[in-house]
Order: sequence, then C-alpha cells, then structure tokens
Amino acid sequence: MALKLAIALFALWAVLAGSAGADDKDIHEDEVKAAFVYNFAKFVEWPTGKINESINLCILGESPLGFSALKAIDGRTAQDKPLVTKLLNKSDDLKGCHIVFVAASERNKMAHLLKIAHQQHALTVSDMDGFTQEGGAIELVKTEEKIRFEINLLAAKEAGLVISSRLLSLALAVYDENNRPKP
Amino acid sequence: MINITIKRTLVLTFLSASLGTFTAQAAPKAEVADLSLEELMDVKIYSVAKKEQAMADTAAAAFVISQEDIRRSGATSIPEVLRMAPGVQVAQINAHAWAISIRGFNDRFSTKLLVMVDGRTVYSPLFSGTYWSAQDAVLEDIDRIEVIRGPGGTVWGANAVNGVINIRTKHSKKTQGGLVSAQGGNYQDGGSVRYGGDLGTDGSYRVYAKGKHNADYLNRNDQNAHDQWNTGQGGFRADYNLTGKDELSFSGDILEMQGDETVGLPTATDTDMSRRSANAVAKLTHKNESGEWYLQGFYSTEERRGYYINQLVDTFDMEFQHNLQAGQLNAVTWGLDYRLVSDKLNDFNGASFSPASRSTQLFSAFLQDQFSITDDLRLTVGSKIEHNDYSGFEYQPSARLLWKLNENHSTWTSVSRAVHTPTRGLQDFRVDLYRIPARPPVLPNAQVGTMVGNSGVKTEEVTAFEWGYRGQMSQNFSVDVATFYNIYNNLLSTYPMVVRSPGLTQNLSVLANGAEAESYGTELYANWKVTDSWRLQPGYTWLTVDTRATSNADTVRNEGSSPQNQYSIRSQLSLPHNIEFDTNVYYVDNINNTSVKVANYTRLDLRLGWRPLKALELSVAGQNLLDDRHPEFVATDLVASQIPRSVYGKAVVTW
Repeated sequence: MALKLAIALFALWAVLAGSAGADDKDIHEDEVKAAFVYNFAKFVEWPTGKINESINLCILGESPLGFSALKAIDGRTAQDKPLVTKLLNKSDDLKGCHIVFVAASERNKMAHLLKIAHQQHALTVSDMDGFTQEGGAIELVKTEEKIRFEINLLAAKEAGLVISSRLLSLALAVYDENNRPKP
Repeated sequence: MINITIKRTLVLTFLSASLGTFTAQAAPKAEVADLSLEELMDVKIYSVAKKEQAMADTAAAAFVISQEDIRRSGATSIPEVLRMAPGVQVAQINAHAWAISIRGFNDRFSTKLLVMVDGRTVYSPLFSGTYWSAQDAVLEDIDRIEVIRGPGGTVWGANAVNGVINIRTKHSKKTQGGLVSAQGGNYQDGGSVRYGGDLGTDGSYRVYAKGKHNADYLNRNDQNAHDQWNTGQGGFRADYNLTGKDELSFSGDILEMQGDETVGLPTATDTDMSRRSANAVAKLTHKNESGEWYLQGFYSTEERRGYYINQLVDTFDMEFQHNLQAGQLNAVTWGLDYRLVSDKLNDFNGASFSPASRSTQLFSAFLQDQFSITDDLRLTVGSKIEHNDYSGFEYQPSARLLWKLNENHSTWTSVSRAVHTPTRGLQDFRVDLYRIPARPPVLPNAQVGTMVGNSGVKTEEVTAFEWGYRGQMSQNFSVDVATFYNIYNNLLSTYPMVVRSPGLTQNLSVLANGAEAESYGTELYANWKVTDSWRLQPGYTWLTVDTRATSNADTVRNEGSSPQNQYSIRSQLSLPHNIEFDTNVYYVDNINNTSVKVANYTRLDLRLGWRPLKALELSVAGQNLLDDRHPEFVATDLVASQIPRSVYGKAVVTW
C-alpha cells in the first residue's frame, strides 16, 4: 500500500515537473567550451604564411576539458583549413601550434609558457581563473549557467594575431593599453 | 533555449545471427560546435564531475554524494552522511558503532558491503565488515562518496555482494590553502586543520589533523551507556605530475581512538576499547588518448584492543588496472590484484582464535568489456577470478545492458553473481555466549554456550537480477528507479552440538552454510530543482528479505535486520545574504525479528548556514530533533545505546 502510494506520488511529481519544460536540455560545460575554442579558430587572423595545411590546436597539461570534448572538434574546418587537435607532453615544444589550450595544471609555468607560445604566434586559450590577467589571450569564464570569454588584446598583439571585431564585440571584457588587466 | 540533438554516427553493427542485422539510423544532426558564438553564449550548461557523469551512464544503481551534499547535510561523520543515499540502511548502535548495509542483512559487521577509501579496502579481514568509527576524514576534503547498490564483484572482488561504498578524497590541487574548522555541541566537540600548498612547479600536497570527542549516550534503560570516545587522526596527500601524462600520488593517515563500550557477551560488561591504525598508499597513474592505467600499492596496519580480542592486522596490497579503447566499439578494463593479510590475535574473556596468528594471500584478476552494440545500446560483460586461502577459487561474472532511449532517458538491466568469502572470524573464531555455573544436584555440570567457527564454512553467494531507469524529465527534474531480485545460497547458519566432559557441558553453535534467502526491493529517488535556490530530493526504499534454513538442524544466523520501508526527503534552500537552510527527514520502519527488535522512528536533521565572508562559514545544526532519544539498532556483541537529540555549532575558516 505504502509502495503504491509512493509510486503514485512520484509519478504525479514526475509528470508535473516534466511538463514544465520537457524540451529544455542543458549541455555539458566541456562541450560548450570546446565549441568556443572552435569558434575562436574562425575569428583570429594569423600572420601570413603561418597556417599551412591545418590549424593546429595543442592541448597542454592535464586538461580539465578532457580529451574527449576537445577531440570532438578535431577535423572541423575553420578558415577553409581542418582543425587538428594534438595533446602535448610537457617536454614538447610549441612549434607548429596555432592555438594552445592551457590546462589549469600549468598555472605555475604560465609566464614561461606564454612567452614561448606568443613567440610561436599561437593564440593562448584557457579556462583557468585569471588567465587573461596573467597574460593569456582568451579566457573562458563561467558565469552562473553560461560560458563567456574575456580577451587580452595585448597578449594577442604580442603573438602577432588579429582578433576580429565580431569576437571583440561579444567578449565579456577586452583588455588593451587603455584598460590594462590588473594582475 | 537551443535544442540540441547529439549526432549519431551511422554504425553498422552485426549482432549474432539470432538477433539479425541492424543498421542504426542517422538522426538529424546538430552539434554544439555548429552553433554560432551568439548561440553558444546562450547555451545553459551543466557541470557534473566526470566520474559522476560516468556513473550516471553505467548499467548499475549508483548514487553519488557530492561535497556540496556532505556540507549541507550537517552530518559530522561519514556514517551519518550515508543516511542520504537511497537503498542504504544506516543504524547507529552506540556513540561509536554503526550498522550500515545496502539491500538488507544489516549488522554491526555487514558482511555483504565492501567499503573503500580512495580505492583502499577498509573491510575487516577478521570479522567481515567495517569499523565505521575508524573511517573518518576532514569532511571538507572529501570529493565525493560513490554508493553502488547491487553486486560489484566483477570489478571490486569478494564481499561486494550487495553493494560498494567508495569514499574519494580530493586531489591535493583542489585543497590549496588553509582550513580550520571547530565544532561544539551537547554531545560532540571537535576540530580540524588542513593546509595545502605547492611542491615545486609540478606537485601539490596537503596535510591535516583532526580530533573529536563524543560524550556518553544513554542505554535502553536510560542509564549511562558508557560509550564515550575520543579520536585523533592526521595525514597527508601529495600528488606529483611527472610528465603531463603520468602522475604519482602518495597518501597516508594515522588514527588513534580510545573509548568505552558495553560488550554483550556472555554478560553485559563495561570495558575500555582502543584502536590505532595507519596506512600508506602510493599510486602511479598514466593517462593518454587511448586509455588510462594505474598501479597502486598500499600498506595498512590496525591494532584494536577490546574486551575479547587484541587484534593486530597488517594488510599489503598491490593492484594494477588498465582501461583501454579497443577499436571503435569495445572499451576494455582489466586488472590484477595481490593482497597479503597477516594477523596476530590475543585472546581474552572466552573469545579466541585458533591459530592465533595467520597470514593469508589473495590473488585476483578481472576482465570486463563494454561493447557498443549500437550508439544507444551498450553491453558490459566481465568476470573476476580470484583465489583466496579460505575457499580457493571464486568467480564473479556479470552482464549488464544499458539502453539510452534518448538523451534524457535510459534504462538498464543486469544479472550478476557475487560472493562473500569466509574470513578468520568465520573459520577460526570461538566466543562464549553464556556461562552457567554447576549447581549440584540439580545441575551437575557447568553449562557453557559457545559459538564456534568452522574451517568448513564456505562462500556465501548471490545471483542478482536488477533493472533500473533514469530520466531527466526537464532540466529541473530527474528520477532514478532501481529494482532487484536476489537469490542467496549457502548463507551462514549455526547448528547445535553438545560436548559433555566431567563437570562441564558445552553447548556449541557451530557455523555452517545451512541457510538461503531471496530478497527483492525497489529504490526510488528524485532530484527536483524547484527554483534556482531550492532543491528537493525525495527518496523511498522498499525491501523484503526472506531467509530460511535449509535443514531442521540449522538456525539462520542473520535474518537481515533491515527495515522494510524507508522514506526520506532532503531540502536545500539558499536564501539571500548567503544563508542556507537545509532539512533532512528520514522515516525508518520497525525491525522485528528474533534477534533485533527496534520500533520505527522519524528523524529530523536541520542545518542553518551563513557565509558572512567568502572565507568564513558559520552553521548551526540539529540532529534527531523529534525526540529526546531512541534506539536505532540492536547488536549481539555490543549493548546498544539510544541515539539522542544533538545540536552543535560549527565555524569553518578558509584562506
């Protein structure tokens, strides 16, 4: 008897709550972040001759995004070039990388790493807290239930990259000479 | 809101001839990565820890208690935290002993539940169960507690008969900085300190210390139960990233506990008890694109002094596990394990082990394959094979099928076998249950009743059939249902034997495997995010265990002292000004069998939390608020106490 009542209550609950928004569907944070990274590839201009057959996305460190989410954008095309994702050992250098996704595990080596990445004309992207403030180019920021991004134009300039106005207009914050990031 | 249908690739799958050939359909595809920036910015995300997500995808009844759940439960110990998990029976016996089981057969030593801390087993190799008072941690440093109902023998091995509880602490990277917490109340005072930092550029560590004192409860006659206890523990964890793909982790804990208890056999006696334990774990993990493996070794030692037995148990364990993707369709997991357990036992007061010292070895291997029949249908089959010194070879196979009906609904079913292997306590132990002096001429012989172990005790086994469903009705509401039917064979029983010598009659109860059982039940729970600041989680557990002796000579030893119905509702309410108000209500049915009689009770736990600063959290919590005290369980070897209403205040400072 108690069981039947409980089942009936749950069923009623399920139906009531279910009807509220049956089509709503949240997407995992990692997938959304990876999709942002793919979109960045479309709206960044690398110095002439830097891009040959593909746009190479290098993943550095122990990526909290997981290999699967970033791997899922492998093979997509941006600017008529296929995107190739690659996991780097920390001993590897960043030669040939066009986008470097820096995992939060690399926080301690940031200064050194950003310097090399920018010398290689790579766009640095990360979801670690304070990435743009520490000299990275684009930081993915988690707000309440959505993902946004911040751009550090000084870092992009250092790497010789031009970021499209469309990307700039959508950014949560843009840092440049007039609005320097506060470390 | 953007509606996403995850791409289904066209997969040609050849099933066995009897099932015919299927061609999966290509659904309309729209991937997240196809969205424009503007659309992406509008996508609502969810973030579940990866392991939690993986668990939601398994063909098993799994429940994850998150750090947030632990914090908001107001619980002060791991056993109390477990009350929230559906299908788990938690009953406190006295101030420092709990009976905890999954799907029935509850007892102080629940033989059919395997408990692990970061993959290290804490199941007692002497008495087949878990000493819960010795399982503690800085609660803030626990990442999550995974509770798996149903057999887990295929991967975890023997004694995961009815379930597995795995307590996982945070990676040391996630516990950087300091934490001090202090707590005081009418029964319990305590505090903990933790500090975490960097080890060079590639490593991190934390160290902690924790202490607590619990006052005496009252026994069932409202007299002092003499069960106060003090415990202190400390430990560390260090993780070192070797190459980006390889990580080396070390951890260790020491614990010392002292307290009182009232043992029940042969007569109620107040006595001291103490425990000292230590463990050290080293783990090497390697991750790459195609898989992951780890090699883990641990050593643990525990010394327990009490009325009956002074026990010293050392365990050494070495384990290897490898997950790999074999082609597109197969995900293979395999592992090897070696364990050496040595003990030294001193006898007192009518209890003894023979031999007094023994070393036993366990070798095991398992292989499990998860095969994607289609994108939506996944079959997992595997088995563990192990060899132990008590019962020889054991095998524990399982087959599980998961069907993702669509993105939001999935159903699963499984059939599995698991075993509880004999232990020292079952084969080599004897304890006097009663002693009656001779009273000639009426009673010419003294009478002694003794429970004796039997080297012929075999493995208890279960064959379990399970079915479950998980549904995400909306982004705010989800349900989980699991139901099972278990058949148990060779369950423990005792048979009588009388041995007469001049002046003494010994009435022996000899352990044997003369019982069997069937059990069935359902666990149901929901997670309802009523508003952004209010979450409600109702749960219901229904359980029936039918145990019987297989011959007239046998008496069933464990009738399954678990309530038939358990209801719970948890409410987490976040109010303005960083105030939280959390409510947990538990109804637990009566237990009524020959060995345990406990009335039903309703338990109310409340917590009011306030975070005036980011670095400071203050809370007041009350447990068991509805009555002054009530018993929750009766144990044979320990006189049970009544569990009182308790109130405490707590402050946590972090930096």
